[in-house]
Amino acid sequence: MRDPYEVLGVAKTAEIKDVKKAYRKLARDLHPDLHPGDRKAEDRFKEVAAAYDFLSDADKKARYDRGEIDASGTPRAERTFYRDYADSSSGARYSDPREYFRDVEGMDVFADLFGGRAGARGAPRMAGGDVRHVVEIDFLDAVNGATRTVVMADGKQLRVTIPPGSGEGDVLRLKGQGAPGFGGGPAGDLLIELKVRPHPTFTRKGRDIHADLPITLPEAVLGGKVEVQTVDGPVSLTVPKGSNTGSRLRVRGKGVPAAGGSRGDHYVELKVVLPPHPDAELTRLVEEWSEKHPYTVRGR
Amino acid sequence: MATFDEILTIHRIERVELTCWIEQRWVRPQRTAEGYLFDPVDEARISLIGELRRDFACDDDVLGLVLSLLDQLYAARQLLRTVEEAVDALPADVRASIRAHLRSPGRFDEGR
Repeated sequence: MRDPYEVLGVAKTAEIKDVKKAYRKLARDLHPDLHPGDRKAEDRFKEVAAAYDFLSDADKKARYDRGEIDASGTPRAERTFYRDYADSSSGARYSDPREYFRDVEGMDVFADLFGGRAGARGAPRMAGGDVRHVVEIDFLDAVNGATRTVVMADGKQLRVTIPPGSGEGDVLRLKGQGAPGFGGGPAGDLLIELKVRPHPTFTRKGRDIHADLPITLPEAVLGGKVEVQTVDGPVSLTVPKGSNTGSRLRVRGKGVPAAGGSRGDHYVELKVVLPPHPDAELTRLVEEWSEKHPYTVRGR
Repeated sequence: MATFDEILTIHRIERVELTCWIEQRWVRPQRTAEGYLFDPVDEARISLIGELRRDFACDDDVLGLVLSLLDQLYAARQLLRTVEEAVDALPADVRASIRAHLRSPGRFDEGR
């Protein structure tokens, strides 16, 4: 028999009332009397009924979900029992002879056998598992690189170097800093996943940094030198005469560092900003000027 | 590898129950930054605990005892395998002498 959940089209986590609803709908659609002459309809209807019968038996459903029986109700051949694991190295976590037989009365031969790591013959050797950690860092620390102290589950502190040019989602692997191994096996690794906090003004696009640059009305009309902040410190930028909002200027080599030491570029998009407070003099000036110099900026 | 919530769903156990079992070290999943991860051996153990409770009507005290005895049993088996390895590496005459000792009458008598 096919997977009854598949037959009824419900998820394994579905509630019994949803299973019932799904069955009723299918039973209605597939009822053989509604499809005279269609032999397949009868088979499908029976399949749906059998699947619902199976799943509405709480005990059968539970045992099926746990993997103890298959869809026809017989115990699964591939079903594994605890003993299948207990005698192998996987069972070492639960049945370490060192835990129970360190001081066995009258058996001196065992006292030395399980003393230290070097002599642990036959004690299962297993590598420790990897441990994942998520670390949140600031935008500038990710771009320019930084060192961070990470606190492990056991309270141990570790200094981690975040390389320059790191980004959101990068995973740093620190060998041997994960879970300890068993019976002399190697420790697993520590995997550090980076989450980068957004910056109020800088946005990263690959190797370049983008930012808006507000400029004053005089700077836009007359041009001039403006100080611009980049991830690599302040830079003096010349704004050309007659610059408009939306113009983009490039500052070379002030973007995100790459492996070889070079950097991407820093781009600014100009935003012309009028003076904050209404200025009577400016208003009069512009009134006069606009009468003599009309110009359109919106389509006809 | 299953997560804590997946185990709760598949094995139909309560969050409080599984937490208790982990605290009592009946189940020993790996700990990671995002929570517990269960190996196949851990899941087999959880199945076993479920069956002991349901089919064998074990209450928690008896369950603790049963698991402890089971773990000691498997540890003893591991110990025996270690000893066997050591004996295998001994000279033939010493091995024969050990075997003779195990077979001697009265050692593992039937019907005494």
